[in-house]
Amino acid sequence: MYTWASGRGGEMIWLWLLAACGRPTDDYAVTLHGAGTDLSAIEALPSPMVGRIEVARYRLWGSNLGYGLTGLFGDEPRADGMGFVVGSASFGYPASTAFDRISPFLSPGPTQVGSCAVRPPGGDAAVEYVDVGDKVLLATPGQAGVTLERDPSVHPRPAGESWYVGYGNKLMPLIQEHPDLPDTWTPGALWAVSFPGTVPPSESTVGAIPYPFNDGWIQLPPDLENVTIGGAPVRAPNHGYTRGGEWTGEDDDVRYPGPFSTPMTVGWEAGRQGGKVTIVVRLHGVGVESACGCAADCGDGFTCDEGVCVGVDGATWNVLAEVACTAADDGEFIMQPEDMAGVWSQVDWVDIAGATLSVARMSESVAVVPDVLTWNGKRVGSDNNEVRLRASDILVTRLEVP
Amino acid sequence: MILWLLACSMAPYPDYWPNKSLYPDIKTIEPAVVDGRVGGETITVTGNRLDEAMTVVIGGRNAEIVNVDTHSIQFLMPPLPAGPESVALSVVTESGAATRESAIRVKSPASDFTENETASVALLRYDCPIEGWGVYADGEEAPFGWCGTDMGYATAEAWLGSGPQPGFAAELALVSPLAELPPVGISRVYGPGDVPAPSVALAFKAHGWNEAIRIHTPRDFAADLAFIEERQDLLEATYSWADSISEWTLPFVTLYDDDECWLGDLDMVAAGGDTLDVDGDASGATGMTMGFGIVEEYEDFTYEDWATTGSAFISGEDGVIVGSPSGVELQYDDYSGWFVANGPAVGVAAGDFPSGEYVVSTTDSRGTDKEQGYIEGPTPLDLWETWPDLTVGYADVYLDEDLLVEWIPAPASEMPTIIAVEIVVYDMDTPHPNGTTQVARLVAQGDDSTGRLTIAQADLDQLPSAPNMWDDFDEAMGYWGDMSITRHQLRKVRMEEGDLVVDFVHTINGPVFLSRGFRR
Repeated sequence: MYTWASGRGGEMIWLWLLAACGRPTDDYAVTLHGAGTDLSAIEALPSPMVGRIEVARYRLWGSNLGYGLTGLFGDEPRADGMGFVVGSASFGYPASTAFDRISPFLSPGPTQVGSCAVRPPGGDAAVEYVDVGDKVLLATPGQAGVTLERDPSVHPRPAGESWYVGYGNKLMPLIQEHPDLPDTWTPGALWAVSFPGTVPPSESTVGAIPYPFNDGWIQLPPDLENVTIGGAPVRAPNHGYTRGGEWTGEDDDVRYPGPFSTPMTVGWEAGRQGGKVTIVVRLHGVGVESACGCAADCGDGFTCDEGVCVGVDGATWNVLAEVACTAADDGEFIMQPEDMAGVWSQVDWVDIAGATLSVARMSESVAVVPDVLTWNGKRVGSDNNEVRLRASDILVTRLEVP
Repeated sequence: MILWLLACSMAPYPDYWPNKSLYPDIKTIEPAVVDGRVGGETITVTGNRLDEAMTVVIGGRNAEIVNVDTHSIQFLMPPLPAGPESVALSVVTESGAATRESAIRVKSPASDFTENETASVALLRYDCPIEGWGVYADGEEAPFGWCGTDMGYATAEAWLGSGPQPGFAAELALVSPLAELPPVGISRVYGPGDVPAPSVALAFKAHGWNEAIRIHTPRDFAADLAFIEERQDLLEATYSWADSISEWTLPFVTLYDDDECWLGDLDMVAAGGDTLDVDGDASGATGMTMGFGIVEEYEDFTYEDWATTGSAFISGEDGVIVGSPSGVELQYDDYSGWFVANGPAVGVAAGDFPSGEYVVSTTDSRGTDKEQGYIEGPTPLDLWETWPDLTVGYADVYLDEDLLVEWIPAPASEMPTIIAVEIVVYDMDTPHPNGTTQVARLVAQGDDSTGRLTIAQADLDQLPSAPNMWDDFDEAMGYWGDMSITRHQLRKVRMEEGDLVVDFVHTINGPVFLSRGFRR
C-alpha cells in the first residue's frame, strides 16, 4: 500500500513529526489586538442553527449615510436623517454557526462586556436554502406588525430556478403609535414570531419547513436615547435648514472625531435593566453607485468619478474592517486608539474613504422550529433546530476619516 | 473497505414521513375554477386522512385553513401573483403530504390571451398634472409642483425569463397590475395592515449582451408636433399660473451626439413623415428629444421652463433631420437582467408610443435580427374626456356617495383592453425610505367597452378622508389622496419559444381630495 509517509521521502516526514513532538512547549504572550489572550474568554463559541430572523430600527444621524449600512442596498440617494425599520430572515440546512452570530445589519459585539474585537466583514452561512412559507411575521399578539415577505413570492415553474429563498430585505417606514397603521417598532414590546410552513413544488431544489411555527418570541430593546460622542449630542442632519426649520440652503455637516488617535467617549442614557450595548466602528472603502456623465448626475453627497457616482465619504456597504465592542449598558464607554490597533494590519490607510460609528441595543433569543424537509423528502433535524432571533435598535453616525 | 461499504449503505437522512399509507389523499376540489387572482374564495377539498391538516399551499402561496375533518378541508384562496392559470394544491398533515398538480384553474383578466406568454414587454405612458392642489390650515387652497411641465413620463421594460410567465407584461410597469384586479363591479380595499398582493417571481435567464427587442412604428413628425400642441393646450388649461406665461417657444429639438452629450437646441419648422425641418445645423447629432418651452413673467423675475414630449434617434444635416421609427428599442442590460429602453437622453417620453401599427422585431445573441410580427398600437385614454378630471390636480372624491368613473371606450378590438381604477391614501407625515407611506388603497376593474364604472359608496367608505394639506413650509402633510385611471391594452406576437406579449399602459394620475360630508 502506498501512503503519504511511505516511499521516497516518507521516512523524512516521520522524522520531522517525531522531532516536532519532542520540542518544548509553553504559553506565549501572544495577544489578540485589544482583546486579551484568550479568545474564548471574550467570544463564546457560536451554536449551529438552522436560521436567523432579524429586525432592526435604524436611525441615520450623521452626514452622508445611506441604506448601504443595512448591507442590503446601495447608498444613493443618501438617506441621512432617516429613521426606518428593516427585517431579514433566512433559513438553511445543515445547521450553521453563521446564523447564530453573523448579522446582515450589525453583528453583536464580543461576549465579554468591556472588550473589543477586530473582525473582517462577515459572510453568510453556506447552506441549502429552506422555505418556511409566504412570510415570517413578527407581531404583537392580536395585531399586525412587521411582515417579512418571501422572495420569490412563489416558485416559478419549472422550479429548478428557485435556488434563492429569503425573507424581508425591504425597507419599511418607522411607525410608532400611528392612528391607523400598525407599529413597525415598539420599544420594549414582546413580539411573537411565526411562519406558516410550506412545501415547494416537487421539482424545486430548496428545502422547506412543512409545518406552521407559532412559538417564537423576541423582545424589542428599549429606545437608545441621548447618544453623545465626546459630550456632543449625536443628531440628525438638517440639510438646508436650521434646527428651527428655517431654510438656509447650507449643507449641515454632522460628524465626530473617532477613536483613531485619541480616546472616543460614547455616552447614552443608561438602560434601566443593565444589559449590553454594542458599539462598532466601521471603516469604509469606495463603492460605485451608478453611472454618470457629470457631477450633477449624482445626488448630494456623491461625486462623479470617471463615469460613476461614488460617495464623498465612501460607501457604507463597503466595510473594509470593523471593531466591535461590548459595553455595559451604564451610559458610557471609552474606545481607545489601542482598540483599533488590529485594524491597521488589515486595512491600508489609502483605501479608507469613510468611517461610521454604530451604537446599538440588541435583544436576542432562540426559537426551536420543526425539522426541515429536504428537496428529496428527507428529514433534517435534531429535535433542537434552533433559529436565532434578534432585534436591534441601531443609531449610526459619521466619524471623521482617520 | 467494510467501513466504506457500511457508510455508503446508510442514508444520511431518514424519510420525513416514512409511512406512505398514512399520507393524505385528495379526491375532489370544489370549485375547480375561480375568477380572479385576488383570493378570498372558499375552496373545499375532500378525500381521506385529511384530519390534522396543518398546511395548505395553493399556487405556491399559503392558504388559510378554516375547517378540517377526516374527509374534508375548507380553506380560503390566497391572493396569487400573475402566473399560469392552472395551479397545484398541496396538503400537509401530521403524517404526510399530498400534492395535486393543476388542481384549480384561476382565471384573471386576459389570462386566456397570455396563456403562452414567455416574453413580456410593458410600455407605460403616465400622465399627471403640472401642479397638485392642497389646503393650508387656514383653509386657503394653493397649488404646488406635482409632475412639472412634462406632465408625465414614460417607461419601457421587458423581461424574458427562463420559463412560462403568463400575465407578466401587465405587471412590469408596476401600475395597477391586472392580477390584483377584482372582477368587474367589485372593489378590493387594502386597509392598514393588509399585506399587498404578491408580486411576480422573476426567473432569470442568460442572454447575450446584444439581445434586443424593438417595437416600432413609422416616424411621423407631424404626429409628434400634434402631441406637443396637445401638451401645450393641457398646460394652458391646467396650470394655475398660465396667465403669467409671456411666451410659448416654438416646438424645439434638443440634439445629442453618440455620447449623449448635448449639442444644441433647434426650432422645429416643418414636419412630414420621418423628415423634420429645423432652423439650424443638426450635423453630427444622432439623437434628440422634442418639446416646448414657456417663459413666465412675474413682478420681480422671469422664469423659464420647458417640457420634453418625445425622443428619436436621428441623422442630422444642415436644416434637416431624418428620424428613426417611433416606439422603443429595449436592449438587454446584463447588470440588471432586464431589457431596458435604449433611447437618446431620456430613454422614452410620453409621446413615444403613438397610435398606429407597430412591427415587433428582435435581435438574438448572435446578432441576428428577426421580424416577429405586427401589433396594433395603443389608444390612450382621452385626457379631456375622462372623469374625474385628474389633470387639474384638485379633483374631489366624496366618500359618502357612489363614484362614477367615465372615459371614452377604446375602439373595438379582439385584443384585451382593461380599465383599472386605483385610489390610494398616503400619510405624508410618516417618512418612507422608498417613497410615501400608504395607509389604504382601493382597486377596481372597469369594462372598457362601457366607458363607465361605478365604485360603490360602501367600498369608498372604507377609505380614510384625505384633506391634502400643506404645512407652513409648503410641504405636504397629513393624509393625501391619489387616484389613477389606467388602460391596459395587450398585444402579442408569436415567437418560436412562445408569445411575446406587449402591454401598452396608459395612466392618468393626480391628487384627489377624499372627503365625507364636506363639499368644497
